[in-house]
Amino acid sequence: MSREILGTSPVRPDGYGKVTGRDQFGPDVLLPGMAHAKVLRSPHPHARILWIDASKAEALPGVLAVVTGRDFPEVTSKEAVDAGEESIEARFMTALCMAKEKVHFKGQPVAAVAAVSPHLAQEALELIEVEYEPLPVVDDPLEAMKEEAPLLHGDLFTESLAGRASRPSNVAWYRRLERGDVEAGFARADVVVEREFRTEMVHQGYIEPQNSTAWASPDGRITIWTSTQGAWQIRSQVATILQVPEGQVRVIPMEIGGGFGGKFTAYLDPVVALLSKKCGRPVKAVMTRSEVFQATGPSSGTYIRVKMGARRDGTLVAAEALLVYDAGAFPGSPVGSACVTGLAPYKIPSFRIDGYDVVTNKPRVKAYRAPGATPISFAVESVIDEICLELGMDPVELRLKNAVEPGDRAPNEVEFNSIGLKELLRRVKEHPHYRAPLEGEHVGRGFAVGYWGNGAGTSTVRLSFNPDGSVNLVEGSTDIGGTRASMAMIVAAELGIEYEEVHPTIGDTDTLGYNDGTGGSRTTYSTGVAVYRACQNAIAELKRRAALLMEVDPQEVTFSSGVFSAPGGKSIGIRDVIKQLRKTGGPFEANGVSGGLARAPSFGASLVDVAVDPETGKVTILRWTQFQDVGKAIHRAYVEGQMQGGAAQGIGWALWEAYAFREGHMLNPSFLDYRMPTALDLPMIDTEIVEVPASDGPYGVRGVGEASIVSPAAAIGNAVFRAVGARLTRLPMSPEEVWRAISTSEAREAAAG
Amino acid sequence: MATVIVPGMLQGATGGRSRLVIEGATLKAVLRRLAEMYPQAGERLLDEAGELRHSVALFVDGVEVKAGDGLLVPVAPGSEIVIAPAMSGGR
Repeated sequence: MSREILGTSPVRPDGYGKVTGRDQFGPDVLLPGMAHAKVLRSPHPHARILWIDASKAEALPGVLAVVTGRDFPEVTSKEAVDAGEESIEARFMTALCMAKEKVHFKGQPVAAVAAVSPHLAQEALELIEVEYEPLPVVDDPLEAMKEEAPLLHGDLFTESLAGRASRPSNVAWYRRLERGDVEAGFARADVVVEREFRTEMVHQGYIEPQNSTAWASPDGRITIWTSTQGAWQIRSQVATILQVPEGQVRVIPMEIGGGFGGKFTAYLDPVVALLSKKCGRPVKAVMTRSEVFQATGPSSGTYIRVKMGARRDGTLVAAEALLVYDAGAFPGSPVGSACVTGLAPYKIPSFRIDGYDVVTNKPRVKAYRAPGATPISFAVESVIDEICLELGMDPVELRLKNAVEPGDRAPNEVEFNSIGLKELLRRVKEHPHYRAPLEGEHVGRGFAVGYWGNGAGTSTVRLSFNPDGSVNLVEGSTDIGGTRASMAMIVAAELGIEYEEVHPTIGDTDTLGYNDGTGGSRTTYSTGVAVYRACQNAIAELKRRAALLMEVDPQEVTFSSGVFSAPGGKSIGIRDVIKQLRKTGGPFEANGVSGGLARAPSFGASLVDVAVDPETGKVTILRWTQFQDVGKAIHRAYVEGQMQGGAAQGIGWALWEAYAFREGHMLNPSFLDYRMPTALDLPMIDTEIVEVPASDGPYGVRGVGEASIVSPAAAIGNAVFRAVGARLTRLPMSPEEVWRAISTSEAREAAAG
Repeated sequence: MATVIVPGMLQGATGGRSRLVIEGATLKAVLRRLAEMYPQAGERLLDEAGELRHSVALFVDGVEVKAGDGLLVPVAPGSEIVIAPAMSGGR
């Protein structure tokens, strides 16, 4: 095998275990003497804890330990700790595990119990007495920004690159990105469109809830089996929260049932570790779905105002955007990335983008697939669609006219390296879907572009070799989207062996060097570079061994497609060299580390046909094509799957999903009431892969996991407008919302005569 | 000599300059020099220990340097260093 394997779709190495249910997920962990934990959570969205009495719970037979905020070390540090696609202040991270003096959102932990069974632990929770002093609640970010709003944190001051505010506020961060003279830009515009948008919190909706098992050994070592996208990030958080050296913590990532950015945070891990330490047994906890909704991190709800101006020929000349992102109880919404992504696809000579990170009495948000990008792109791409309609321009043509190219700059002034937006747009224009006639009443075709900058980070991998000529690969990237398959393909391609001869496994924090997490669409790119480098290191050593076997000078040996060759017609296959390692100096391992890589941004686009029932407001998707510049598809079926998965989640966000709150209380914390799409709701999502190689890395790979969720909401909104003439500015575009928009638009038309 | 691109929000601390040309073999050396030239800007970029604040992201020739990454990143003559607000949230 050689590089022709790249771009094919071999069977996944972990397929058998997944299909037969034999793979070990976190809840499957079973250790001798293991106890089970349950967490008591605040019923109030904002309250002071006056006292907690756990004595009755502790006295219940079968209860082994109880912990409250008093058992957790005092972490006052304002240092930020790595939580995957974000960082979070250490003291706030502790508060997500266990409240001390105050609770800031409903569902925040206030105590936890370990008992001989989960049912007994649950029973014991009811015996814990907590006296709260309820405090005023603010659950809307715009309300929270007002001067008279109740303050969540007395010591939170708005910070920005311009300095720190002098009075405490619920606005944690303020960011401004700007270029050129915005007012002069708008003065040059022939068309100006300005709209306000609102979106609600949505959850990643991973099927496997958060879970963790810990064993705090009497020798001080803590071992944790958990469901996470980043074992090293969990290690760092546990060490910080429990104030122990990182080397004392071993985190073993189990198979994972979805994450989408939401599984980088140690919600349960420090709690079960502390319970284990207290009761001297391993302790396991598994969240319920209601806990997942109310006590883990959804994506931000937002308020966004976008104003854009264009010349009559379609040239965009000015833009202004105001972004208010709800962080939930503690600072850290993805407003920073939102500020960079929304306008990134376009060359706009003058713009001003203001972003606010605002705390409210709701669950602290977490990353969700292209964090922050979907709401801002819903806004920007809707406004651009209106400009196209006003100018009578083709929506792809206008975007092509303004599309960024290599050498242009993103809104944060970072120069784009190799990007493929123009190639992608040209592919859309040529696609049969774009040219197909639309038939029927109240049908419309919508189009939108999405951008995600993609991460790079660092990865560490190791290769070792077996006497049968096969190769073991240990990587530290949790396998969510097919990492084992794509990394094994790279080993097969570089070493010239069969894909089936590569045995990939996922290591843990004790068995491998540091790895950034599986997130930010970085894994195939960055871990792929680490694997490539490990292969090159292996080839260098194997070349030396091959020279010994062929009795030639190593300098004379060349390597191609799995065969070492030397002058005089000598040659030996790589398998034979591997099989004879003991005869040529013994075993060896080859390591690979990546880091310092340039970003490999990805552009995507959604093209959708919808039918709208004007009587009920129901939107039916008739046809969907998802486009993406992936650089180079390593495992083609997985790439298509990522594009389809992102589009599916984007469709759910657009049409159905939303947290409903009343005074900080979530009203729909179950899959019965929180409406995620099922297979019955979704159309076939066709994919169109565009391959413009990225600047860095051996094959031009770009991450593919996120860009596909960015454009669907805007594409659907644009399709609905073209179907029934009603502009949707709120997500989700539920039947009620669509019906209301149609009614408003009809009333407006009637009033206009 | 590296060119440092200063965002609008920081230009109040750099005398209104949007581009600075500063010498230094590493990012740390460039930022130290920047802090000497513009102490207020230095305070906003670096904490008391001289490390990058979490509110800031730097891009050296397009490669992101985040808080916690360390500043011993080589800077070549002609390199471009973009100062930007951090992309990720948190503190």
